[in-house]
Amino acid sequence: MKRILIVVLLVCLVVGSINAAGTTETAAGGKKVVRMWTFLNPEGATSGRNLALKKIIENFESQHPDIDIVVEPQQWDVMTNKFFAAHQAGNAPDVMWVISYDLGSAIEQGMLADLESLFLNNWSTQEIQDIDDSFFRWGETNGKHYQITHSRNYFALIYRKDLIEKFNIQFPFKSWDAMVQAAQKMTGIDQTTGIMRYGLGQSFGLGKVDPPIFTYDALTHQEDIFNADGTANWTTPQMVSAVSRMSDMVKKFKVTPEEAVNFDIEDVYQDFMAGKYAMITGASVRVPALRAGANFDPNSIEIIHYPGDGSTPFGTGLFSGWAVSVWSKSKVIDEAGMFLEYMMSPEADKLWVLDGGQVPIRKSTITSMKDFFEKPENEYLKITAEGFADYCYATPTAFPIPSWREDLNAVAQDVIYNNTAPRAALEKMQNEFNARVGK
Amino acid sequence: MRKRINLGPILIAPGFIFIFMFLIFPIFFALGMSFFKTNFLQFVGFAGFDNFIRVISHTETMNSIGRGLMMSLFAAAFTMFVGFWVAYWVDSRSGFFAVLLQLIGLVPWVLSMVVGALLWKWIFAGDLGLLNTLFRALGLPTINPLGSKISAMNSLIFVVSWRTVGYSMVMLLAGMKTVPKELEEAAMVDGASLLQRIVHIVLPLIKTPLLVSGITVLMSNVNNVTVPMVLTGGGPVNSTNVVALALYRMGFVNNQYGMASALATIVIIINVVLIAGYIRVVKWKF
Amino acid sequence: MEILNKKRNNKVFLVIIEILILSLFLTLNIVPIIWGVLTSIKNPRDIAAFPPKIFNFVPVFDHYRTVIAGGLFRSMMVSVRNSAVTIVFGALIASVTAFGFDRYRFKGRKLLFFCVILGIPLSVGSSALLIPNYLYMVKMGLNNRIFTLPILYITYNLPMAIWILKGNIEAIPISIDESARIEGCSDMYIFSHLILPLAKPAIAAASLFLFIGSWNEFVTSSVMVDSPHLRPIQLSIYNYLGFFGREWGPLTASATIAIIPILIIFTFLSKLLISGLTQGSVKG
Repeated sequence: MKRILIVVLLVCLVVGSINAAGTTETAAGGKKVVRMWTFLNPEGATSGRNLALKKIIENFESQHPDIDIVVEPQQWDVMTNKFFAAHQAGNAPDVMWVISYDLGSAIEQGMLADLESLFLNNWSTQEIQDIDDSFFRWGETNGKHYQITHSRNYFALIYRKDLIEKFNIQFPFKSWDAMVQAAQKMTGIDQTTGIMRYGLGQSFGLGKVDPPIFTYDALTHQEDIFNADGTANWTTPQMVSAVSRMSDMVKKFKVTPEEAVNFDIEDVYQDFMAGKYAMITGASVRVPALRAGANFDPNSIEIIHYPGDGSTPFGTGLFSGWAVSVWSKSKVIDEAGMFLEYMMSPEADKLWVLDGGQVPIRKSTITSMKDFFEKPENEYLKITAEGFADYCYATPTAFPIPSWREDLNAVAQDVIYNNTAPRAALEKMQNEFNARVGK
Repeated sequence: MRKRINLGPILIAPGFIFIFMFLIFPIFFALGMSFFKTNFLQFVGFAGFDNFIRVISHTETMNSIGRGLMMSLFAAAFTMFVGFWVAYWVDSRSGFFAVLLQLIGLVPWVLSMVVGALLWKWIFAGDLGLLNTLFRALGLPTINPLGSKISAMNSLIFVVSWRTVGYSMVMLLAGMKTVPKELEEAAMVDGASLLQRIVHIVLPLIKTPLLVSGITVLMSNVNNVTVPMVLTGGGPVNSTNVVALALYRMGFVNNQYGMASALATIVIIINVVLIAGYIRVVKWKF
Repeated sequence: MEILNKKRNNKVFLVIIEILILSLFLTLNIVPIIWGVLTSIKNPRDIAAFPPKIFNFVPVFDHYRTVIAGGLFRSMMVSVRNSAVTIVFGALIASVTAFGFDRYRFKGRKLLFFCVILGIPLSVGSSALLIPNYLYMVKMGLNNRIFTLPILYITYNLPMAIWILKGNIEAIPISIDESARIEGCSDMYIFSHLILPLAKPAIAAASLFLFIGSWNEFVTSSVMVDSPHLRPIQLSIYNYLGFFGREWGPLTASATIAIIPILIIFTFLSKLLISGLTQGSVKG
C-alpha cells in the first residue's frame, strides 16, 4: 500500500513538473513578457476574431523578437471585476480589455495609463485624425486618452429584408409609429415553419442584458438619460412616452410576445435564427453569427438605424465596445504600449476587418478597403460605421453607471408584468439607481 | 517505560492547517470587509455597521433572503425525498439495473451546472421550447413555465433539486446498506406496512447521512448563483431573485463589495444557526 | 378466490406504478443530457431550427474538432493532474487526521472534530467570498501557481473526507492496534500497515468525493488562475458562453467530453464506494 502511494505520488510530481514549464512568468532568454486579459482565445483559432488576434500577435512578435505576448483568456463578465481586484493586489495584466460600463471607474481609480505618454505624443496630427472619432474620445479626461476601443458594437435594429419585401413595407421607417405598424404587418403565422412570428423581438429578462428598446426611443427625442452630476434622468416625458410605446408593443399591438419578460437577448437571437421574429433589437457584431445559424435566407439579415422623429432621418442607437488599455502599474509599460499601438496599426486593422468581421478603427482603412465594404454582404458594416459616426449615444464615463441596463429592463418588466404606470415605474428605478450611486 | 508523546495533535495538524488557512481564515477576512466602506475594493473608511444597516433596510434584498431560503428548503426537501426513494429501490435490488439507475441518477450532479441549467431553459422556453413542442404534438395546450411568478419559482426549485438528487441518492444508499435486512424482514413478518417500516426502522438508522447530505444540499442551494441566473435571471419581476443572485449582482455588477460582504455575513449567520441545529443531533449520535 | 384476485390486482397495480415512476425519474434525468449530446453533433443551422430536429439531421463533428483545437485536452490534463494531486494528498491527510482523531485522546478533541464537520457545509462557499478569497490568495502570492487549485480543492473537500474516514477507522477494532503494540510495533507502522489497508473502501469513497469536488469545480478556478496552462476543464467549457453569444455546439461538445471520466470512474468504483461509505462511517 505504501509503495503504491509512493509510486502514485512520484507520477503526479513528474506529470506536474512537466506541465510547470508554462506557468512561470519570466520567459526564457530574457524576453519581456506582456500579459493581456481578454475574452478572445487565439489558441488554435481558425476563424473570426480569435484568428485575427492570433495573426496580429504573430506579426508583432516577429517584428519584436524580444517581446512575448501572453494572452490569458478570461470570463468576460467577471474579468473587469477581477482586474479591479488584481490592481489592488498588484498583479494586474499589462494590457486589459475593460468592459464598457466600468471604463469610467477604471479611469477614475487611476488603473489605466494615459496613451499620450505611451505613444500618442509621437503621432502626427494627421495620424491622430485617422483614428479620431467618438470612440477615441470615449473616456477622454483632461485632454488625455486612456483606451482604444476594439470590438466596436452598434445596438440598432436587425431585420429581415425578405419579409420587408414580401409585405411591401416602406423602408426605411420614417418614424417609430411606422416601425410598429410595419411590425404589425409582419406578425402572423409563418407559412413555412408554422411558428407564430412576431414583428419585433426584444427581451426584458435580466440574465444577459442589453439596453431595452425604449432607451433608444427616448434618446432619439431627448438629450441624455443621465444628468451631468451622475444621477439618472429617467422621468422625462420622452422616457415616459417611450416606455408607454414599448408597453403598447406588447399589449396593444402584440408585435412582441409577453414572454419577452423572461427572455434574455441570447434567447431572442436564437429564436430569430429559427424564424420567430421579423425584426429584433440587436447588436451589429452578431450579424455574422446570425447569418451562420439562420434557418432562412442568411443574406436577408441586415441592420438599420432606429427611426428618427421627423427632424432627423434616423434615431439614436447605442455604441459599445471593449476599452483596451494599459495597466498604469505595469512593469513592462512601454512594451505594452507598443502592442496596444500595433493592435490598431493599418495592417492589424485590416485583419480585424477581414478575419474578425469588425468595423475598422481607422478611417484610412475604410477608404483603402472600399471595394470590400461595397459588397452587399458587408452592407451591415457600412451601416454600422454610419451609425458610429452620426446616430450613436455614448454612455458616460465621467461617473459610475452600474447596472443601468438591468434597471431599465426591470422597468420594462414592472410595466408589462405588474401593469405599473410608466412614470411610477421609472421614478422608482431612478430613485433606486441614485441611491446606489450615493446621490 | 518510555514516555509516549501524544501523537494525536501532531497527526491532525496538517489537516487543520489546510482547513484553517484556506477555509476558515479567508471567511473572517471577507467578513472583515463588511465593516469597511469600499470604493472599488479600496477601503475608503471604516463604516461600522453602516453596510449592514443599508442591507437590512433594502426591502428587495431582505425579500431575496426569504426567497433564497424558501427555494433552498423546498428544493432540498424534494431532493432528499426523491433521493430516498430511489436509494430505497436500488437498495432492494442488485445487479445491472441497479447500477444503471445509480449512474443515471448521478449524471445531473456531475454535469456542468451551467450546461444543465441552459438545457432546462431550452426545454422550458415558451413557443419554441422542447416541452411545448411535445405538448403541441400531443395536442395539449402550450405552457410558459418561466413566464409567471409562481411557475418560475417552481421551475427553479425543480431544476435545482434535479441537480442534487444524485448526491443525496449516493449518500442515502450508503446509509441504507448498513440497515440489516433482517430487521425489515422481521417487521414485515409482524405485519408492518411499508410506511411503518420506513418511518420506524430505516429512517432512524440513516439519520446521520440524511442530515449531513440534507444540510450540504441546503447550503449548496442557498449559494447557487448559476441556476437562478441562467434559468430565470431573477425574474419575472424579481420573483425568483434569490439571495445568492442578489449577492452576486451587488458585488460583481454594482461593485458594492462592502455591502455584499455584509449581506454574505448575514447569510452565513443564518446558515450557522441552521447548522447548529443539526449539530445537536449529530452530537447526540456522536 | 375474490380475495386472491384482489391481492394480485393490487400487486400488479403497484408494479405498474413502480415502473411508471421509475421511468419518469429516468426520463427526467436523461432527456436534457440526450438533448445536449444531440446538440453537440448538429451544425449551427440545425441547432437553431424549429421544429427541433431530433433525428432528422446530418451529424457533424466540427464542434468536437473546434473544442479540441481550442485546447480542451490540455485542460483535461490539467484537471486530471489537479484531481490526482487532490486525491492523493487529500486522502493521505484525511486518513492521518482521522486516525489522529479516533485513536488518540487529547484536549479539545470533540470541539475540533465539530469544526471539521462544520467545514462540510461551509466549503460550499458564497459568491461574496470570491473576491476576498482572491485578494487573500494574491497577497500570499499563492494564486495562479501550479499548486493553487489543488491546495484549495483539498481544503474544500477535506472535511467530508475526514468524516468518511473517521467513521471507517472507528469500526476497526482497537484490539488490532493493541496486539500490534504488544509485539512492539510503532504507531506509524500500525497506521500504514494495519489501519490503512483495512480502510481501503473508505479511502475509495473519500477519493470519489475529492475527485468530483475538484473536477467539477468552476467558481474558484475561474478567479484563482489566469494562465491558459493552468486552466481546468470546466473553465474551458464556460469559455463557450462567450461575449458574442452562446456557442451551443462547442458548449455541449465540451460538456459531454467532461462528464465521461467521472462516469467511468464511478462505474468502476461504485461497489467499493458503497461499501466504503458503509463500514461504520455512515451509521445513524
